[in-house]
Amino acid sequence: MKPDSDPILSAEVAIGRLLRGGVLFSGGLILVGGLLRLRVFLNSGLDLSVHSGTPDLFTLLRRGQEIPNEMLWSPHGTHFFGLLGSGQPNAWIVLGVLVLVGLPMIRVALAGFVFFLQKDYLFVLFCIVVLMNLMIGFLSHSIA
Amino acid sequence: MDSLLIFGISLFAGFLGSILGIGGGAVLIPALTLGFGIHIRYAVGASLISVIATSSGAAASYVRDRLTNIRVAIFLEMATTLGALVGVMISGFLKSDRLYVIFGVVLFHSAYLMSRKRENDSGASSSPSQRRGIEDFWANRLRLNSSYPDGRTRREVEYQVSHVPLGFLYMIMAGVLSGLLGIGSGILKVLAMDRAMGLPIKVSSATSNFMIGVTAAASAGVYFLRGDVIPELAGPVALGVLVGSTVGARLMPILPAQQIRRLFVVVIAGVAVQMILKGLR
Repeated sequence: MKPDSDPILSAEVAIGRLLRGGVLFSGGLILVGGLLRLRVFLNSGLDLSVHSGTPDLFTLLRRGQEIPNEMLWSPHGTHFFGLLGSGQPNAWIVLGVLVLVGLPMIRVALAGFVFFLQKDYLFVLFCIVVLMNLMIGFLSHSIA
Repeated sequence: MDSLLIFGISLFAGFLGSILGIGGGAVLIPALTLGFGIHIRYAVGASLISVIATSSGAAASYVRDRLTNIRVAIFLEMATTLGALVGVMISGFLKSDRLYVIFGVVLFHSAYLMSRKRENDSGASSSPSQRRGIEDFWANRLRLNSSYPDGRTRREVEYQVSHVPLGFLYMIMAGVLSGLLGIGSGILKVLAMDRAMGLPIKVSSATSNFMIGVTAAASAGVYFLRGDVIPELAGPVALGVLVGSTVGARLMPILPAQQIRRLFVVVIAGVAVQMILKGLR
């Protein structure tokens, strides 16, 4: 296979660029959150020296600014976007973090797609196994 | 907890980690826990996010240079992600004191490997494995053998992959450590591919860079749902390590990496002992 005409390589290069774009995008989201935080206050006054068990995700998102509860639990499930819209710093940071965590998943999924195009079904299966492990991590509340 | 200060120390950790070749997490977690008194579980959660950022950020350049062996990466990621889930599970049962001790031991071992790296760095030391054993059956079967363009001569260098099952086992171990300690465990991955599987060192590094992100993503989800990814901490840490490691990789050819490594191997070993002591106290 000639390196110049390698379809996997060109696909991989595109995926690589996509990933870099994704990192910049999520970095931007985190930065927005950081700047919003600067606006609110510099020092969060958090004590992270003690492990306080599992905090409620929405407590985490709201911290630093009081948001009315009705907004969090609006019927259309738009609470997260509501927090983003109201300029809640942690919501922006969490969105950036989620984009970041999603990038490796996208990379594996796209690699699987390329293998599929090559009819390399064994490696498609490998990609699915990897993706399933990633999903287990993200979907399991009960794992530990 | 000052976000700007956290950003600064993460920047330094990312920079130093990339110069030393041990990754941002290995420097970051001691800095956050010993330096700032942050609980190790929060430090691990934040570090995992930064590992993903570093991995995805560097992917483009490695892939462009055709150093990453995607097939090897995907195959071994089955092992690392499985290991990561096991590691996360173990961390749920372990007391935090134990985490400090394990981290210290792993860090000390990394320092030891760093000190030995010097001797092997001269010239093309990683001998291409031409052994034709029973293990090569898997490399052939899975078509893992490949080639990469040598930077200087622009010639294609073909390489054979060997000891595939052994490499797979190593990767489960690497995954467990990653899920447990929030590090990329890149050293262990490169070691397994370079020494055990006979991949060229450049290919090992690039492929490891791909794998650390996927490995970290497997455990990051659990840490996130557990509430151990604190936005106020993970945000500045991810940005800091990302910027720091990018600058570090750029400056690497200019900096006297050997001298820096020699200097910091002692520091890292000292920090490792500190971590162990903190866990035993």
